[in-house]
Amino acid sequence: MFGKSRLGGFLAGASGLFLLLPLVAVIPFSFTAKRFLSMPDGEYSLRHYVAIFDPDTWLASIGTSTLVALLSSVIATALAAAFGIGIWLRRPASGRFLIGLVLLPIIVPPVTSAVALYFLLAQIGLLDTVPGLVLSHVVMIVPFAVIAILGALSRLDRNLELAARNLGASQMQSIIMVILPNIRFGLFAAWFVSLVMSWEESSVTLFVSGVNVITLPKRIWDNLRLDLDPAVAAISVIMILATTLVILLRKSET
Amino acid sequence: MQRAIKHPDPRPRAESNIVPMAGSDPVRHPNSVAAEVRNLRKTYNAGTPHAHEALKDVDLSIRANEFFTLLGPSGCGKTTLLRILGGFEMLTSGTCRIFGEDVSRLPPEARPVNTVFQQYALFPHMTVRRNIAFGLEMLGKPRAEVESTVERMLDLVHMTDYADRRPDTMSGGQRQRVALARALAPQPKLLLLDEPLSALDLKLRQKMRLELKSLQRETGITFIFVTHDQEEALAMSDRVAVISNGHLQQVGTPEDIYEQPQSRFVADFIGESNLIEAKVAGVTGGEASLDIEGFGKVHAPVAERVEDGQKVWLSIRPERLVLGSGDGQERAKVTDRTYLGNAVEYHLHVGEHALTARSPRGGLRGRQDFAPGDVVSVGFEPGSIKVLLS
Repeated sequence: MFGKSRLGGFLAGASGLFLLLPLVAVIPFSFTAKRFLSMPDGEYSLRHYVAIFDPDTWLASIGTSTLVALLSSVIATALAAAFGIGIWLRRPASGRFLIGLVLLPIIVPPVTSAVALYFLLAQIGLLDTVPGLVLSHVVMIVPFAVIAILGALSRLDRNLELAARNLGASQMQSIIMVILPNIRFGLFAAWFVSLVMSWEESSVTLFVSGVNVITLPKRIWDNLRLDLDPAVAAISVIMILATTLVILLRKSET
Repeated sequence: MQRAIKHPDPRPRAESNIVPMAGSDPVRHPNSVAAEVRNLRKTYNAGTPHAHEALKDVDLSIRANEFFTLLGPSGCGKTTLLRILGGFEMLTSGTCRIFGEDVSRLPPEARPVNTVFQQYALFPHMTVRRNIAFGLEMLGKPRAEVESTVERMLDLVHMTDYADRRPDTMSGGQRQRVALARALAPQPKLLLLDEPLSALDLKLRQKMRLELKSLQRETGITFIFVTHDQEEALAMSDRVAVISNGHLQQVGTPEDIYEQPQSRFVADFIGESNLIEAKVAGVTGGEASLDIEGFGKVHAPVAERVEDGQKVWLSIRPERLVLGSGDGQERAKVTDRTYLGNAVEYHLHVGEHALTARSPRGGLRGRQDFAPGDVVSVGFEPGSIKVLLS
């Protein structure tokens, strides 16, 4: 009803603008010539974009975040796939309970998880290390990967697995040759969601790292609190551009 | 007889002796037993309030080279039996042998059995060619053999032109053929078919019936076919097992099952039947005199012992009722006449009983036609009355 009317179009545009404006507002900030976060008054500069490439601060954090996101997303996807396929194949009586257990990190407030992980990592000596951070991220993002994979499995014909077994494939062969290829989109979705979730994870990260290992969200956080460095605006603009690019690329594919 | 029963192994010895001899090919051996189940029971959720007995003490022998059909209404246990043979379901008790080998505890991949699934279950991420090659590759066949067998199978099911297509770009009939080729390629000793024709439209279904039958003859592989469609079962099978409620009702050739039903269930489920209650009013030799209330006495042969006054059921096929008039015996009233194209069906009332009679081209070629309201005489063709005790 709204969809075709002018009013509908106007409302959609207005709400879109409302959501996007804060993002757009950050753009001029990034070109300021001053050393603190402010609107440029006549003078424009790219110095804050150059600052991003400082290997000791911003670039180091981008590297750390990339490494942590890649590692934890791959591990989370593998664990979620193993869990999902196991549940799908065996259909244990405790299946619902187990799924609930795995999804718990979504329901529990992040701070609670963060405190728990803090004590765990302190115990095993992994506080403020990349492995410790990867472990924490995996715990936090596995539920989302599990949701994506269980969704893909629920659309998979059970007889495919039986057909593979019937034709002489072992359990493992049928998983590798039939089940995995047929949930590949679910696997990709799980991996991609995990990557993004890890990339932007901040609440647990603040607790379990911050001195030796500083991820990008953590550095942005620190900067906003302590420095108001316009490099934050510059990095935000780059992230907005990257996101827009991904969306446009996906659109042109379909 | 007495000694045979006291034998420690009541199964006839001959069967297990013929079967897996080195050098011989048991698959094509005309007299060997392809599959055998003994005292088979399957209980789902055993020990819980939801326990459900899907199969109750089933004994069945399926011969090699046979087109054998498991027939029954949905939920009767026929698919469970097929799944037990395929290894997708574990039996609760009893034994299950395939060509003499006890497979009760073997996983599906270790059984010489392949299956054509109801919805085909073709691998959507593989081409037709790769689908057919899958089973051969799993058996570790050399590449050249895999390729030549796949070509042969493609040719067998007339799908060579579609070899490089994916299943989701093909019609139901084409997928059906690919599923058959995939299941036949590894040369199983036993081919299980789980209602493979139910997803096809009528014309295609009739065509595939013939194709399946000739495939079975060409390959010499034992087919075990599950269906709820009695017409399909009669048309294709060498022998049929009728199953209801987890019980084996009757096993026999299509003619046996149709002409000599042994229970009301079989008489009613296979084709159509008039089932009439009657009382035994005397037995002489192998023939009983039977009293039908509101109709009179009829005579029919009885195979089992019956006693005077015993309640029995008579089964008579609609096409074997003969209607007439003008002979002074008119006791039935026509309540309805249905034109079926190749026949005319009359619905009759005789006393308390409702009967159906079917006459090919009623009213044509000199046959009498009747209209609702007519009062007619009812005769039975000789040998058409089957006396059923249960």
